[in-house]
Amino acid sequence: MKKIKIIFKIAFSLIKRNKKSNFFIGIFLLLCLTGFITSFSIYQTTNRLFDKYSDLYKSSHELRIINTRNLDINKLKNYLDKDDRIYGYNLDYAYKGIVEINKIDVSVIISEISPNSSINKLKILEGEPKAYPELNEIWIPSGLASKFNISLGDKIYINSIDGKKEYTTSAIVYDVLFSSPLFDPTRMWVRPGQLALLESLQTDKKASLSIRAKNINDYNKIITDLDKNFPESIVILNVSYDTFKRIFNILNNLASYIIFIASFLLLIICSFIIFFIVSSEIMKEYTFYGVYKGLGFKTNHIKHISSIKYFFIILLILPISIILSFVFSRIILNVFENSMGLDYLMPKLFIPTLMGLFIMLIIIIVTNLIANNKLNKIKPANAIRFGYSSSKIIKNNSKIPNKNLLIFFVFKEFKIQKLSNILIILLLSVFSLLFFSAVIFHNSFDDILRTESMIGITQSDIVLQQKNTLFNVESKNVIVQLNDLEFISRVVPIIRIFNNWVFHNDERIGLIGFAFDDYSKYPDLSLKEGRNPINSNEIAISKILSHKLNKNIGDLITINIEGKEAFFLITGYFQIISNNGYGFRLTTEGFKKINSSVDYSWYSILIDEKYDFNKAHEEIYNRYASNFSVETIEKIKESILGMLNKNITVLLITIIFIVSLICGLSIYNMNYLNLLDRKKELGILKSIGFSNNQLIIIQLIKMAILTTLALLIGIIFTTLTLPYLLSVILSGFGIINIENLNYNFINLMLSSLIIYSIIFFSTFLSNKSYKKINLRELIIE
Amino acid sequence: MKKIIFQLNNVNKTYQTNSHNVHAIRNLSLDIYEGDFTVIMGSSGSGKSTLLYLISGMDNFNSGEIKYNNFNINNLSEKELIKLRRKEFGMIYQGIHLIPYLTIFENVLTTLMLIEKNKKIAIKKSEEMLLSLDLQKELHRLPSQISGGQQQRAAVARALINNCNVLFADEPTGALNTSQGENLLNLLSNINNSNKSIIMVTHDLKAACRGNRILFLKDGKIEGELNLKKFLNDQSLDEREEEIYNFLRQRGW
Repeated sequence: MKKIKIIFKIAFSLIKRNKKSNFFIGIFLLLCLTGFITSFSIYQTTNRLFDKYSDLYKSSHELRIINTRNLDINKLKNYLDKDDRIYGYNLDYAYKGIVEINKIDVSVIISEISPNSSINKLKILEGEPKAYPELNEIWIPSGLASKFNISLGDKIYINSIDGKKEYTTSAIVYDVLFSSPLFDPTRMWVRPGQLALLESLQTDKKASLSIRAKNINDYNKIITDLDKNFPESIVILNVSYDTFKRIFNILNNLASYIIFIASFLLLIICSFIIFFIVSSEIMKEYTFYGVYKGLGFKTNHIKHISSIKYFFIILLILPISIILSFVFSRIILNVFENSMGLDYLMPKLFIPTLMGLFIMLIIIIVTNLIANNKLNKIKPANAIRFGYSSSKIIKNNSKIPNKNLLIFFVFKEFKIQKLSNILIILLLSVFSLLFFSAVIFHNSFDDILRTESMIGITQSDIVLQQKNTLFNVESKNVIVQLNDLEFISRVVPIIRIFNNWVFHNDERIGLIGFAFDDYSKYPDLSLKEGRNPINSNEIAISKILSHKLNKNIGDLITINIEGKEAFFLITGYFQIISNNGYGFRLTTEGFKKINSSVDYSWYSILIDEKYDFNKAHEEIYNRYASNFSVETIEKIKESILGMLNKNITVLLITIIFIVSLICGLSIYNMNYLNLLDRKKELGILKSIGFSNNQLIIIQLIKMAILTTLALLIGIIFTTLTLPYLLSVILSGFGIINIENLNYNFINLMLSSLIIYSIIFFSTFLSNKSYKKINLRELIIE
Repeated sequence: MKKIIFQLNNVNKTYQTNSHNVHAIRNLSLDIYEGDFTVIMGSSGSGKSTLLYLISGMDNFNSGEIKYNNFNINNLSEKELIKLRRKEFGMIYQGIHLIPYLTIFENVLTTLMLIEKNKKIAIKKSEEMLLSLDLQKELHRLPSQISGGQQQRAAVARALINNCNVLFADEPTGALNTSQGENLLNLLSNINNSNKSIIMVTHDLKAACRGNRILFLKDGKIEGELNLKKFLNDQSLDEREEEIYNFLRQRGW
């Protein structure tokens, strides 16, 4: 017991003795521990968030918008009431169409609130708590509010039989299914009875059917049985729980991947740096260890002293680490909250702290065990007399200094500080790998988003979207009229197919479908492999769908399209982002075999370059705005993908910022610790006439060379690993094959400049502090 | 009339420790003359090393004035102090303090290259200096590969390579054995004979008797001064040692 007390006392006194160096060691351990706790906290806080909120607010497992023309509503209600697998359902009026928000046309579903509903609970985040909105008021989801910057009192204009009707935003609500700004179309709520006022009596009415199963595993079967029993119902839109969940988790999964990779790399660096610190400490304290051994301490006792010293430091930094982890977690979670329209997320810290602590302790124990092997070899007398001296025979042939004395000392630094320099290169390589990866990822993702085929359509300048899907303006007329306009160079009619899915291992995967007349005319509808369909029984599917179903070109696939099963031969693979990448392409004939009454509802238009784009846009708008939404392709892409891109950008910037901070502080620490170790040598150099600036310049040149090497290693590893990593990370977006990464030279140069700046700044700061210490203190103490 | 190179007026230096202040130098006034081998003697804790570092500009003092050739050292900028260290002052320490990863030759050459831009001239001068100190065989060895005496001679070479006017020595024989110490002291005597000023701190009588002006420090103040004959030819080492010994005994030190 006495021995243990003594060991603890010595460890504690060692901390007090080398306050400065232990302070910087503490800073470094703080950064590592904070990194671990933050990454675990983010994972734990966001893990299964969708399921939790879904259960809490009794969200539906299926949402459909159905045309009630041929439907016996009472028969449907009776059927649903009798199905005891169903927890609850809502069957209400629905409006699906375009609304104007801040002069932007947005595709929405408007539902009437069922006051007594047992499912789809809403939480009012802003606005007066009420059962439902008042007349001419509307409630909007938080995701939509953040996407379009909508506040209480803002006006929303809904197309009605009497023209545009003005609704006032009276509440911003949280709905699990629709609060993510990434979901399109989104949903709004009005009071019961309000929707009937929007459409004429001749217009086919739509109903919104939401079903929640008692057991989540039953909902697919419930829907399949429903379709069998009600084949006459015309489903306009159909979204399953799995689709909602996938969209909800997009950013969560992305952040988790990135944070996991960063944490893993941090773990490796941490291990090396702690090993380096422990080894350096042993060299510095060699004489004292010789004294301890001379006094009768065993080697194990000394190893324990070393470990206990670091445990003490970790205990001291733990409260600060928890606070910092909370702050960093909140910063990252704030991105989730904004993108997913979530309420305030309280970071979970207890288990992450325990895990982070556990990992740090393991690292310290293992690195101590390895580094402290030197202690076995200590002969007390030699240690006391001579301190640490390497047993290596150093080759010494005087190199005549180059013309530049400072460069000579830089290369001497490389020779004598091999381990430290390797660690710095390792740290900087990881840093530059993460930095370059983030920049290239962002550029490449931006490129992907720019390609129209990623949202399923051909290259376009303007897109016309039919406003009323049941009473389309006849496409033949539209195509002829558009082709007659001299400023239009190409018109591509498109059928967008809704309510499609495939079954896979009891999972119902919702699909988005497109049909084109003749794919040979549209080379911009590119494929990853194979060809687009030519015959009516052929289909091209998305790459991620083929992976999921394990289907290859030449295989048959069964797809449920608008309630009917159809078989197709797979002819090729493509990639899209819409609907998380799950989609297919048919020929127009192929789709008409399933639904003969269907007609084209979208028209992709290319404007001839010779003409003024704005004038052309205005002309098309004036001609077609009454029946079509007339949007530029940029606006459409922005509405589908803009929020996603913005949030990914914010997430990447946040992560780069945190990684830069960690790197900058680590370099500062390592340099400062290095200087503390070599105080005497610095003092001697100053005493013979080296200026402070010369000493700083030596370090800056050294760091410039190391950084350059690290940047090269970073870019090489980025090139090798990023395509694979992106495939994994972006698979949630439907992208699993990235061929051409965007190595924008200017962006990479800028990134390199930023990295150099961070490193130089850290190095300069760490060296600057020595200006204030006088020579006597440097040499003598 | 001897030229005064250093003038100290009412210099005070206090160290702050955890528990109290240590008044290391108290209102000390002193002139040091060009060409003298000035020895500062005193018991442990008397402030002799502190005084040496104050005079050489390596430490700051709390009040008073230290002038070198009429320039107030305290008022000099960092740039001017560097100039002094490169061209005017040389320093040798008890702990020797050569740069451990540079060979003897590199230790001397890099010091010279701070003022000599011509590489060939610098190399030649460094080789000549080391030869004059009988270190030609150890040129390309690291400090850890030569004896203590050789290391100290190398330190002297480094201190002298810039043709300094004043050589400061802090217990230069402290880490050496008797014969090594004697060799070094002979070297310092020869240096002084070529009219270089030396200011040396020691507690060793055998070292002290090389000086021609012995200052006795006690509790941060100069309590006594003894002038000996300048040249060793005029007075043997034993006689000088005995004179110092008698001086100390008379004062009960």
